[in-house]
Amino acid sequence: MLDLLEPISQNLEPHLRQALHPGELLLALLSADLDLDGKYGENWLVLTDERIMVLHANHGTPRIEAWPLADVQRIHTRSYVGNGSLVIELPDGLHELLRFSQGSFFKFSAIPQVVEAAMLSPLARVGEDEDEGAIPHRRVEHCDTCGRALRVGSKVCPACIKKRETFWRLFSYVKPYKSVAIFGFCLTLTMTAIGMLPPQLNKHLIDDVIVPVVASRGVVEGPVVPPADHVVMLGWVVIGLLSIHFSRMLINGVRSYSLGWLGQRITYDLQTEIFSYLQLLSLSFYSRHSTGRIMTRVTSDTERMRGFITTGFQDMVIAILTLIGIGAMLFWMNWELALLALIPTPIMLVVTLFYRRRIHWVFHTIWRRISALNSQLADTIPGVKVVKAFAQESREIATFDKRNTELRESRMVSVKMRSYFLPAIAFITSMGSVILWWFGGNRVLENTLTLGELQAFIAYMVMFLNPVRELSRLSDELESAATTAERVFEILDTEPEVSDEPQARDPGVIEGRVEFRNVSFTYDGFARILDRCSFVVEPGEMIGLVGPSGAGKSTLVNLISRFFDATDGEILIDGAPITGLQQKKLRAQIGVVLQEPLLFQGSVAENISYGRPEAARTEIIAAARAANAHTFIMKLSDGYDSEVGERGGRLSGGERQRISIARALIGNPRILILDEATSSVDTQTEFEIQEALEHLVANRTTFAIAHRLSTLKNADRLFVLDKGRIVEEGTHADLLEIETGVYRNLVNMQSELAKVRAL
Amino acid sequence: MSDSEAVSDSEAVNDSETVNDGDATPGAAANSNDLDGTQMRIRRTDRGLLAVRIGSQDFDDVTVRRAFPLEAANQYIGFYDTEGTELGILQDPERLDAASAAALDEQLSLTYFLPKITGVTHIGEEFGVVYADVETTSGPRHIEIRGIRSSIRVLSRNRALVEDAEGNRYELSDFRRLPKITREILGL
Repeated sequence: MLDLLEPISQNLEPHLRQALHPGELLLALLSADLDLDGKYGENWLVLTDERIMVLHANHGTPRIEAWPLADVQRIHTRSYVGNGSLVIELPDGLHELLRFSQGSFFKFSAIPQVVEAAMLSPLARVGEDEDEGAIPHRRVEHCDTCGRALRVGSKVCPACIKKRETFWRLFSYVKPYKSVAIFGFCLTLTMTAIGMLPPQLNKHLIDDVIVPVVASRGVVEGPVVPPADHVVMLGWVVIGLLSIHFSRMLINGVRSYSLGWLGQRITYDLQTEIFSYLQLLSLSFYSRHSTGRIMTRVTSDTERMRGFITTGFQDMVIAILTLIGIGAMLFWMNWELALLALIPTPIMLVVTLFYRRRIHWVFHTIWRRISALNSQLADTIPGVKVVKAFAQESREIATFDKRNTELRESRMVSVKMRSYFLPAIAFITSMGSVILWWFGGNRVLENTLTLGELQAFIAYMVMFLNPVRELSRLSDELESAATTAERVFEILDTEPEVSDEPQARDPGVIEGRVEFRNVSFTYDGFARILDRCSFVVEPGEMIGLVGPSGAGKSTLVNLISRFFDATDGEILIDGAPITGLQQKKLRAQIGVVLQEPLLFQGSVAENISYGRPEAARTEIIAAARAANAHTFIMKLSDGYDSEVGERGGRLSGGERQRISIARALIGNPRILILDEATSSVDTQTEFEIQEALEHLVANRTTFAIAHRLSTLKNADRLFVLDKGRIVEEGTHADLLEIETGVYRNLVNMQSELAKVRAL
Repeated sequence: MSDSEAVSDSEAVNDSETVNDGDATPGAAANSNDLDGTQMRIRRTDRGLLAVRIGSQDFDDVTVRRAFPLEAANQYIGFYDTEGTELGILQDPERLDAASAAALDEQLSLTYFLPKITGVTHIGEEFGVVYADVETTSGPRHIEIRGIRSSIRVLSRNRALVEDAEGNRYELSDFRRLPKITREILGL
């Protein structure tokens, strides 16, 4: 519900108080951001149970204009381009009360209804046509904390999300398997520590085994017998190296298995949780998010989160520990050389950071261009018939070529950058060893450093530079994991808009009495798809819903199934508010047949029993018979076991529709909703479906929407909808009697059309 | 089939072939088109046709179709006259007398040809096509399967339906007994 009482500033409040009569009840207080001359300004609409007032706040002393509600003959909003106004009609003519920008249109669109309610008598609504030109406009939603506009389809503000909390939450998925995670982490640490040993052993090998022997021997030509104790020592060092590599192999195997196991568990848990949650979310969630986007959340986003939790995070810790460990080792061995060896590190850090930042945008451009290319493919390949019909092949080729050229160019930027960066990094790394060879070599010659020490030093330095590079990559990964996790958690944090109240009760077997009390509905908060609809339908009645496209017929039946909740007003089933009934139990008693019957992959029998998987085969056959589907099913070679194909693609439209009718019937629903059930089939099939429907509607409250009015000839009553309101109601004969009636007009048009077709 | 349930003859015996006329409401177990096995006599004629007597009416060339050929092959058998009009569905052929049941069984086995694969002697895959030499209940056979995703359909009770490149179908019963490699190649 809209909040029609906005907070007013402290300096205006006294003026407002002063203007109100004692006991006068404030109904609405809304700010408008434009003056009547179209300049930005501050004006307030003040609506009470007695008067309608405007508080002009921006020119000197605030000034109030007021009109008694009794004088108001009609009130309506007018929509212009980018702004709108509120207009009232008084005995002396029209008055434009306020102007407001597009963003405020929504709140002011509620005012005519509030005024009407305040006067307790409906006003003439002739002015409604003036809203015809309203620009369809999606209301931008803003973050409650920082006020930033939110992304389309998202209610989570990226700026206000606390990264640390996101990570804690991410790691909460590890919790159930924490022993495995700790075990894997310990193995990683051990492996890293063991990895630091070989240079030390090599140092021993050179300083204690090889060099002394070579030095003591002087210059000798030809093979000599080595001293036995040194051969033994060589043997030990080699055994040491062998055991290091062997234990690394073992540890690595166990580690990658346990981390892999952990990763798969996490992906499984996340995917199951998201999919289960998606089933709970209301239809409005699906209208906000594209299917592709939701699928990405379930598949690749969870995969990326797994990657970060299992490897990315560990790599990061390893990189940091290695940096510290090796750094300490270098300084411990020789602090002067260590300082020299570290000279290339800041250069490398700067180069890497620069490269990462730059390549990030290059990749961004590449992705954007790939999607531009894909979108053209998605347009033109399915639309190839149109392309050929208008002989526009060469134009499409030219567009593709242009986009493909752009893609190639941006990819070449990345190729160029890589070919600069990678050799540069290799050069910088080698600079470190060159520096070491020069200074270290001198030390060796001066005999202040051993050859083994120098060799170990160089080996450590190469090992040191790797994590420096790794860390900059990992920081990107961290960033992207945070965003991914936020996107996934956004789904998990979305509250289902239609949810069962805690005290919602089981409706039991319903009779099927449906009552609408002043029901209004809007999808986007802007256009009212249903506007104050009221009616009572008795159990077993068949109601035909007719009216032009966009009149609100489908919305009306969607509200009965409670796919959405009414924005305003109340819907009662058997006298109980629909919001107080358990959704599942209610929907189980409502059968729905849609214009496009969507079948799931599986057999005919599985599709018929979709709503009641436990249904006996006898019941499946009975439902199919009732839906006039049994005969064609038995002609299929696999009968009820026939595979329907993806989305029922192996069956014709009429066959799919009859299966969907059988599916609606198997639960023996008390309320049946037929939403254009016969409009997408040929006349013969329509006849067969119609025949099936005739004995279905008996004893069931039925709401049938149809464009072909002949389909509704058996309806007990017809509701004619126009612009969200029920404008006519009665039997076919009653409605034909209204000379200028919408229904009579529709019937005339269709019979004219039938005559034309008959020619 | 193994899932058919034996129903005692004392239950729901009707003395006419039509039951509970006019009630087409789903959920109602009995239906005007249900046939009562105890009121039927089935025999195969010398010319290989199926003659059926339902109550007091005789039909001399009857076609039979299974409603659930894959999931309940021996239950829910549809009977059709020469015009293709359904005479009704026999839910439980076990209620037939032995001779009728045998005649129906023979007719069904002739109508539905679905050899069962009893063993795989050789299997291999090349460029997405699976080649296999199999033993079936109708003899040995070399089969080629194009696209395992679209050609192999998993049924209940670990069974699978295999369609070869020529559109012939085979039933693979209990695929869990196959060697691991074979199952991997078949994607089962």
